Amino acid sequence: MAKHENAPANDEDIHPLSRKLLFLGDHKFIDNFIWLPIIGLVITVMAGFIYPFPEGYAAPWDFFASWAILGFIAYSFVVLSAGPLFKLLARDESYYGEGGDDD
Amino acid sequence: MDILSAYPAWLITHGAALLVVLPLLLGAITAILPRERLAWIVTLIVTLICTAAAFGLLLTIFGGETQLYKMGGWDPPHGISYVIDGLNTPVLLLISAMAVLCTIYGLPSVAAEVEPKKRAPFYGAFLIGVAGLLGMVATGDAFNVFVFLEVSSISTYVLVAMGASRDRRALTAAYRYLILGSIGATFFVIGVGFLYMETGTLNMADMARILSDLGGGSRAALIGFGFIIIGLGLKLAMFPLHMWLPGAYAYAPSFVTVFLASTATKAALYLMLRFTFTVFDPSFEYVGTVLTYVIISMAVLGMLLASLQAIFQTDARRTLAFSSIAQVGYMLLGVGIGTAASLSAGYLHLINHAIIKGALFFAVGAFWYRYGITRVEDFRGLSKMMPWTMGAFTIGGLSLIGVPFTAGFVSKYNLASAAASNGWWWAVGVIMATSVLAIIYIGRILLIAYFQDPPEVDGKVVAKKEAPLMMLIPMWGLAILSVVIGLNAYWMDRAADGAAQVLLLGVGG
Amino acid sequence: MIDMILSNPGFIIILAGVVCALLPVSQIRKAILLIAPIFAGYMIYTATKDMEAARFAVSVGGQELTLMRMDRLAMIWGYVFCLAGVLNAIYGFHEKCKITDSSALIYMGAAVSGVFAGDFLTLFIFWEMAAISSVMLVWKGGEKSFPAGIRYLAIHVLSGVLLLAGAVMYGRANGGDFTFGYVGLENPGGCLLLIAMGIKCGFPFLHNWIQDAYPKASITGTVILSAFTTKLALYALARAFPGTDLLIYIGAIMTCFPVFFAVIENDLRRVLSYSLNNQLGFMVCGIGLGSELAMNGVAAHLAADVIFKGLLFMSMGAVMFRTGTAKASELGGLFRSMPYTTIFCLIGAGSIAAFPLLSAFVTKSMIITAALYEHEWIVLAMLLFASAGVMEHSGIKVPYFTFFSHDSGKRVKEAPVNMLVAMGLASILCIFFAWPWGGYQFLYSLLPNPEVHYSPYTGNHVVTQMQLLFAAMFAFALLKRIGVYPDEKRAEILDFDWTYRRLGKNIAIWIDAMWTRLSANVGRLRKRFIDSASDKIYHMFSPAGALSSAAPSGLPAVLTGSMLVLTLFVIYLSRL
Repeated sequence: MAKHENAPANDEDIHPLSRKLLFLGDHKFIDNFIWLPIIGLVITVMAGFIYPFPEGYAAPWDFFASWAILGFIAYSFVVLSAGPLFKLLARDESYYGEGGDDD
Repeated sequence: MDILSAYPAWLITHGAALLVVLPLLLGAITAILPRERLAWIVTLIVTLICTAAAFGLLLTIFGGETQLYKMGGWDPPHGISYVIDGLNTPVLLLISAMAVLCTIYGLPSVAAEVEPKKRAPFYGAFLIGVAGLLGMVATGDAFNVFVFLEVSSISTYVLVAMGASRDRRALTAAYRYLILGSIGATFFVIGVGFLYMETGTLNMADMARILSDLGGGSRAALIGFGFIIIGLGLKLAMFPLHMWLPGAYAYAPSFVTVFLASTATKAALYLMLRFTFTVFDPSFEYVGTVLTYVIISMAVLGMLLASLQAIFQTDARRTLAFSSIAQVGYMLLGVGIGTAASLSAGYLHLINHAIIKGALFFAVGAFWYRYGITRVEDFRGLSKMMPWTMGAFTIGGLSLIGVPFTAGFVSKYNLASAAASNGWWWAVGVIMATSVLAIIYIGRILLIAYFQDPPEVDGKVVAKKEAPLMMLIPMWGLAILSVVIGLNAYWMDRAADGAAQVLLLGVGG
Repeated sequence: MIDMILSNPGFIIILAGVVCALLPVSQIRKAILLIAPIFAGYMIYTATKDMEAARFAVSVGGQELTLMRMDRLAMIWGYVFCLAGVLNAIYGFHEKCKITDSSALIYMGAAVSGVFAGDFLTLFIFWEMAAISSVMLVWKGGEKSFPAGIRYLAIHVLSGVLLLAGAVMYGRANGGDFTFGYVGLENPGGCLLLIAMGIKCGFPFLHNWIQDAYPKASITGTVILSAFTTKLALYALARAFPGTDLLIYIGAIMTCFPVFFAVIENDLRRVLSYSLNNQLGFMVCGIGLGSELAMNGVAAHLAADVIFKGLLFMSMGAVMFRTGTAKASELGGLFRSMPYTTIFCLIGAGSIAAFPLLSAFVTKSMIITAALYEHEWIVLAMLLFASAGVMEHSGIKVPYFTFFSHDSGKRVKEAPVNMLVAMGLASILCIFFAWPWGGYQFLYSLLPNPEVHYSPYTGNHVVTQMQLLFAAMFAFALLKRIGVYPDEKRAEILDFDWTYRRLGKNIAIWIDAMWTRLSANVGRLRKRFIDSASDKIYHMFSPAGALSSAAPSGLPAVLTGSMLVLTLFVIYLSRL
């Protein structure tokens, strides 16, 4: 993420509201963003003990923090499959000869 | 029937003979008239009288009467008799009404496409052709059918060949049509000969009676039936006997193309109905077999292959010609299924298709008349250059596809539901598939005409030039008629149901 | 005539569209565009007071057509369509285009009329009208949208034809009863109807028109298109096939496969089209489950989906309006210049990802819970997998690549005021629909089965949903940090439409070439044969091709002969 820090030269014409949000582009914010989901995960997994599924309403594969694990695996699988899929399915933008360029 | 009471009595009582004799005699006279305008007026008047007579006869049919007109007062089976019943009267009206519309259209069109010297003979040949078609539909005598078949065919060869001043290929097309048409007529007369051998009569009603007494007859009747089916199949452009048709339609003068497309094949189809259902009987084993295996398979093949071929044509008239072959397939499918509903649907499609194709060919002829174009790719921007003509073409095209609220939809829907109620779902599928193909070949033309800009000549957009009024009147008459039928098909259904009744019950046959 | 027009709220909108087509003044058209759906919404409201009295039928050619039929299922669809119409009108306020205005109204009117249609024939009319009027919106996207528009039109006309054929078969099997009600798959007509609706609804392998046409339409066009076509098809499915098991699996597959395409696609409007497809999957699955809770979930999720998917398309449209592109590879860092759009887009993204207090949380969960109640464990797992996928492509990818990520250096103006107002209203609705104190209760009171009790804000639901979402966010941050999160690259991504856009086209070209070659060869062979056989005669009689013009008559003559032989043979066989 280091490459993102090059501050653009034309920072003058930034929207007034955005001036208060500029921290979003900050190096420090980006690097520490990961703590938000980690803390969230810890809290919700804990809360999972307090609010279990009622008896008979849980899936058979349901266990401790199962939704979190499922979410993590599913998300990672989708993102990681992008590489091979892109190799398989991507073609040049003029593939259909109709011009994919709109800019 | 109030209208009927306004008719002079002789027009009804002698209508059957008048229909044939009047154009035949005046055709000969017209051919030698010195002035083309005079010839045109005579043609118009004769066809108008014929239309009036046919309309009167149709009204009497709706009134529940059928006529047996004896030529010269000789009784059948020895004399020649003309039969006027629910089966042939709508076709008679169709032929004579189309002749009127063609004649109106012909005033500007013939002047543009036929050499001045040949114009009076052209109208003469046209009238004789009309007489031939009316004769072969009206007559109740098998040999008489052959005579009129030849009369109409020979005059048609001449008419097609007259397109030569516009396009030399008309000559080869006419020659090819002549050869194949003669083969067809020969087959037909051979078939009639076999039947005569079997039954000893030429009167169709008599033949039917004797054949049913014999339970279908011996081998001679069988072979006769085969010859007649193939001979008529050639005349009505049943796939794969259609090869004469695209050339003849594409290179004949526009006037002739319209007339051929909307009447000649229809008259032949009428004869096939007449012979298969009233002279022979589908209850004879061999007739049933031929209907199921030969007619239906050829109908389906024709619907699919000719539609595909239509898509690949570059010339709009050839596209429409191949489409006609496909549409003949629809009618034959209706014949082949052989139930009352399907016969009625096939018969309705016969009439509707004549109206639709008439409008389409009228429009294409007008495009040639104004801009000298027939190739699809030259139709660029025609919606702006000739909006009214293109409008009529669009309505005709939509009707051909079978869009709801058009004539094409009514008959295709009837045909599909007749097939469905027979349990023939695959036939419904074929009808749907060929309708999709029709969307493609018509849509291709419409897209070019509506969405491409008119061509430029010397940097200037080609000027708007609408077709003359005399062309627009018949064209729009047919286009409006097709929508009217789409909205309310009561009279058409009634006529078609009447025809189907004649075919199945032999009422008046 | 007047009472016929007033019978169905959609007719008013169609009429307004026709009027708009003739109006040269843009401001008046915009006013009509805004007022027509509000008025239609009011008409729906009055019609709900006495649902039986609102029924209206006419007889055309002996066939009874029910032009208006009101019940609770149709009601919520009608309200949602009118609401979407109002938002779209505000969103498109800046655009002066007569064709867009009038076709948008006719298209929307057709969709509303279709919803209130009481028989299949009436439905067919509006089904086709919606297709034909909406293709104008696709074509407004510029020259390159033309072929996509043609494909769109062809596919939709095909769907209409199938619908009609299915309806005719179904009506025939039913003794002439065309009532648009439960059909099921027992008769062949039902199968055709399912395919017709499936095409419009984007079933797997039938879905390509969505991703083909929507991203190529104009900016406002895409927003308008996303609201109606597929939702009308969904309504038809909910009406004709509730509880059809097949739909559970079709729906589950539909939620999963677009996820994979969305993750590699670069054009963000195309990503959203895949996302649209994936959300439809949830609802199709719900229709397949068919329980009262599931049907409530379908209707509620429809309401939420139209708003949040509209909001996402609107935000991408606003970005495209300002920057001229919606390609992820060209965008980034836009929060610096379009902060309001960023916030609205994040609300939309949060809604589709089903964060608590945002709309999908109270709607999608009903469908998932229904799957759980029915013990469809595999389906449940697929739906949860797809929920994580939604988080990826719509929840993270779309806002991240547009507004954050690598700064593209683009400094543009904030979106026009009218767009901001439309997006703001949509955002408020997204929050309102999930508002725990009166918000979701109001939405639930409009559902088809109001007596079913469901409360979304239970401890375990909030906790498990947050587990899923935090885990997905964690995975995103982790993959990003270790540098395996893929960057966007410009490319054309192949989907099933390759079969007809490439394979089919190439086969057609190949057949054409082969046919030309074959006929040339046959022609040459025939010519050589004739040449050698009649060389002398040829030279004697013909300077140029006089004989060759006669030669083609040979083939037909032979064919005629063979046909005769065939016919006689058939006759002979029949006698055996």
